Amino acid sequence: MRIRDIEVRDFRKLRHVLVSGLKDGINVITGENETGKSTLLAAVQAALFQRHNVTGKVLDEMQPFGCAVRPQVKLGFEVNRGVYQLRKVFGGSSGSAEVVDPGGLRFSNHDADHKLEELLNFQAASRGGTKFHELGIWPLFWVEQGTTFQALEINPGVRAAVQSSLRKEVGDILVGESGSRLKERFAGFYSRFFTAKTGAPTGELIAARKEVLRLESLLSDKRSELAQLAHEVAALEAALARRDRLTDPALRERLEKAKAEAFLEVRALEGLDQQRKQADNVLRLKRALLKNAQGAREQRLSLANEVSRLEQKLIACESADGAAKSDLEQREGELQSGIKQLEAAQSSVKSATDERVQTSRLLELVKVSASYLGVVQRLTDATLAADKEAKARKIAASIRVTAKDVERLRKLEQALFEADANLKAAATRIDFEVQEPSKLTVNRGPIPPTREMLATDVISISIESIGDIRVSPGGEGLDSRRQQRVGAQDKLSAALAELGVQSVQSAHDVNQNRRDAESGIKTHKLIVQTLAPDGLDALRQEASTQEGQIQNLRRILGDIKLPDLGSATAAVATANRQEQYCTSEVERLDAEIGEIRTRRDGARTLKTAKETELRTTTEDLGRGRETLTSARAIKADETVIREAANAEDDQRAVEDTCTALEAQYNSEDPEGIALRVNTTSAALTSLEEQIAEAERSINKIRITLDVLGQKGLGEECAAIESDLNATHIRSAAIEQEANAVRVAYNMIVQVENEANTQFLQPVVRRVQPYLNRVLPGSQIQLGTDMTIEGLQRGTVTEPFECLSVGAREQVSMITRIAFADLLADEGVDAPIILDDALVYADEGRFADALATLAFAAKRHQIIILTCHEHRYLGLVGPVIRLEERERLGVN
Amino acid sequence: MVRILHTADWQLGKQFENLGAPADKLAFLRQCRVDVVRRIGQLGIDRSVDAILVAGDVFEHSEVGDLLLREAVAAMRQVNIPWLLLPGNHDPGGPASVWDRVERIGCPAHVRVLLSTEPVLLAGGKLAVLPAPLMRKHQFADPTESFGQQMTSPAAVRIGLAHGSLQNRLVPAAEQHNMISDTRADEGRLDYLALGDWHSCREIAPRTYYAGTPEPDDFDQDSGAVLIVELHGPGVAPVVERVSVGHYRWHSLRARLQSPGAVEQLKAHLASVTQPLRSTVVHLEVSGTVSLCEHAAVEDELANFEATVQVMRTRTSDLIPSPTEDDLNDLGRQGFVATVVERLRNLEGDATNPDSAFARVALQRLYVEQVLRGGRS
Repeated sequence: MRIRDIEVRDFRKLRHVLVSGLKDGINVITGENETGKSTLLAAVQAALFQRHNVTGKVLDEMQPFGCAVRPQVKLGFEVNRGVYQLRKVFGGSSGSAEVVDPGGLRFSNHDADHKLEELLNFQAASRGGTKFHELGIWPLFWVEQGTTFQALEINPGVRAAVQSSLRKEVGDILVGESGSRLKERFAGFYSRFFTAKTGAPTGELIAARKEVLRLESLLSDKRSELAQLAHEVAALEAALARRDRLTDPALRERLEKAKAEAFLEVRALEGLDQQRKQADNVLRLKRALLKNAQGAREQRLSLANEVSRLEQKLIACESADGAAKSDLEQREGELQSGIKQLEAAQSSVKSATDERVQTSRLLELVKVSASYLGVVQRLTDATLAADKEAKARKIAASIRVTAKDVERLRKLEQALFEADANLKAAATRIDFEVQEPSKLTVNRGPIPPTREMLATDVISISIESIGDIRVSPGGEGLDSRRQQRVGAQDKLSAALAELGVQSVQSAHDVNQNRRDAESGIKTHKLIVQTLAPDGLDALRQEASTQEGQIQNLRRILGDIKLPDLGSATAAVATANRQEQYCTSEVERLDAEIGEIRTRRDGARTLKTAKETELRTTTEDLGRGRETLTSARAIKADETVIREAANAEDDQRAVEDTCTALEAQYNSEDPEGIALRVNTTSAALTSLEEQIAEAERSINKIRITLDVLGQKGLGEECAAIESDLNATHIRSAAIEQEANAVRVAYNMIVQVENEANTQFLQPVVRRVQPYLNRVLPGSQIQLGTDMTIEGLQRGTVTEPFECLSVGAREQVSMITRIAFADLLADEGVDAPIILDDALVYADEGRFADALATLAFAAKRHQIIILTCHEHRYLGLVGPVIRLEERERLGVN
Repeated sequence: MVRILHTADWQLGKQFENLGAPADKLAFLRQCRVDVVRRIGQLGIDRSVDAILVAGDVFEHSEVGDLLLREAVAAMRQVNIPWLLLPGNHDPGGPASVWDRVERIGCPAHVRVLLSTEPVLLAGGKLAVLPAPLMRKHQFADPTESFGQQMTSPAAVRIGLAHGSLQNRLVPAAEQHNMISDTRADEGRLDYLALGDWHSCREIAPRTYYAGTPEPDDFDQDSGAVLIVELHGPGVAPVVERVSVGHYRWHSLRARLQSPGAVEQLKAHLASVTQPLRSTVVHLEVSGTVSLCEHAAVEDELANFEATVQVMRTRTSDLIPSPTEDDLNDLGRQGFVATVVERLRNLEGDATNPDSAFARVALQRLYVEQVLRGGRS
């Protein structure tokens, strides 16, 4: 098919556009973005492949946005060198279609649609819109905007058409219908056992393996339980054997015999122990008797010795008592003498103290009097200074003129002086050299005594009898100078009047007076502060206090003449020393009397003690003599001594008996006997316990075995083993079947791939010349589904998706051209339409691509839609600008 | 005259795991072993025996479930004849034995478990049974050693009841346990020695018999019977009658096939299996080289035959499918499938390739799918 004319009305954004004169070979339709190039392509697709009465979304997508108009497309195209005219108006039931064949035969509406399907060899959708990408070979050669670099989409229609062409070239080497069914069937078998993508085991194969593993695990568990059962049986056998050993009557008899023998030994030992205890009792009795006899003997000897000792002691006590009395009398005499000396010394101290007090008061009176005079003088001076300070403060307060005022007056006076000097500098000097000054008056007054003057204003000089001379000075700026002087004079006068002074000097004097007054204030204030730091009242209070002290001391001391301070001080020192001496003497005597009194008390105590001892000794001796006499009357001393000696002999004899019995007892090994009794008793107890424990253990194991035995573990185990064996057989069969299927299926796929590769060689061969232009040294790799797998460069194959976008664009385009070449050879002629197909190629590759298109244009109609008109200038063919055509269409 | 029924090796609870058959099929074999006990009881009644002597291995092992024990006891409870059950190497006495559980379940008085060597007097003292129970699986001492010391009434017939291998009379085994002297009948002054352990029924020595298992449980075995023994008095030779009681027959076949005519050859072998087929257990080893076409037919025939018997264990790994000229013609000499066939045959011949063994099966499968089933698609 070759497209010649296109006219579109009210299709999406295109109101009316007419494109005519499309030729064989290259045709370039240009236009800026959004001018409707892709819409034009969509309109052509709709006209050729959509039924005229489509509705709904398909129709909506054709209509301009928001307009319910009926899109209309007219096409002029050639098929097998015959020219056909097509007109379609889309609008559901109100749509229409018309095809006029080269012979002028018209086909309307559905007949027109069917005629197109026949001409272009496609099957439109029976309902709804026809999907363009499913329409056989057509979408392969109509490349929509921005999709060139994508992988080729080989739909079944393309595949069938290409395969039909290839079969004519290479023969029927492909799988064929029968082979396809075989492959399909084995693919189904294969999917039962393996995954399609990775070939990993799955489905029945995995299930069989898992079942084997499950049963093996289950069997292992059951065998473990069986082993546990066997273990429990062995444990039961061991427990039973142990129980039998423990319940052996010979064992019990042996243990009981040993126990009886041990008890016999115990009884023999108990008899011996009884004898030993009786001997111990006799010994304790003999010891008590011995102790009594020895006590009596000791008591008798002690009593006799005590009487003798008391007799000696009585003599000594009588002598000591006499000596103590004599010593006490001597100490009493010493004490009375000391007391008298102390009383005399205490009297001396009192006199010295009185003297010291009197001289101290006198000294204080002297000091206070002297101080009082000083205080009174300071009070007088301070009072006077305070009065002066008050007066000076009053004066200073009455003067208004300040140093600043004086300074201001001086400046005004200086300004006046300067104005005056300035005036005088311009004044007229008049010197009077007259004989009779009296006849001469100046301004009605006498002439200056200096006989000279400066005239700054009109001066009238009168000369008696002669008349007046009027002098009018006329120096430069005299008037203004005069006015300045008058102004300065006025300011000074006003300032003086303000301050109430006559002159600047008097103002200075007044200011000086104020400053003198202020200085006096400071001076007198300082004097007051010096003399009365705490204030005049405090000073007055101090004077009053001291005066009171003086009067008080005077009252005590009486009317005496005051000595000077040195004499008074010396008298006080003398009195102090006398008092100290007397006091120390009293202290010495007091200490001495204390010692004497202590000695006297000691002597008194000794005397009392000796008296008491003498009395006690006398009484003790009497009682001792009485007791000794009574005892001897009862039992003579010799008898007591003999009885003690006999008791000692008896005790020794019994001790020997006890020692012999103890030795005999120990020789019988009582600990060993006790140990044997315990051991043999414990052995029997332990035997009973062990038997009971063995019985418990047996019962426990029996319960466990009952539980395990009831489960029929052996049957379960064998049943599982049986299942496992059956499963092993099934699994082996499945493994064999799976592997056989795998081998068969892989072989089928391998052979099919090889056939496909060989089958596609004509396509590869047609691609190669184009590929040599754009990517020299590379070879295309097509998949069995005819898609582009990659490019082989040398020994390396780069997958299609790994190529650059530009390379993918080129490879995709030339592969389409190669398919077009193949189909053209079989008489299938389809225009190649490229909508902005080469947008990623650099300039070099673009030029190569143009050369390829130019080469392909010798056989095919190629329609290029682009917004880059200048890039296609190198191609020979009509260039149609869409904007102009749209205007043309509108017009 | 004293009449006894001698049986042994019931092996109740046997699972037949080595058959590798589905559990539902094996269940029939297991159930049949209980059923044969009922038939034995009925035979005992029919023949008016004085006692039924079971010479060991009543149960397959000590770990059978209680349900099976109850089934066995129930079968014996129905027949009020003394049943003397002897522990064998599969179900020895001893601690926690299966017999403890039998006792606990409740055995009727006429069913006696012989756990000691004490003689059992029956038939009013005319019959003295000397038991030799096994108290453990393997016993090195002759369990019948005490028979000679056991004193019985001179008027009583002495029957020894034991379980083990008779010395010098059987094929030597790698391990020999529970050995019994082959002169025990004489040494023990026995009128009859009833043995168990070997599953074929045979007279093994003078007055010494193995009863064999009453229900066959393996191939190449002369079993499926019990012995009715009549003893007319001490010192008188016993009269022994073999009575068949088994249900299933076990057949082991080996068929070598060769194309052409492989299917007919197979059918001829299968014809030797006794009727009814549903009561047979068959082990079949098929070998030979057959065409792809006949291989498929042989497989069909085998599958059909398996459906008619109770259990069939088949080994066909040595049956080699080998394509003939006809097979190859069927597959097609040209085109895609022919290429695949050629490649598979090459792979089959490449012994170094691990897939070589599968290529043969793959080729057979390809034939089936392409030739036999392809036309139907």
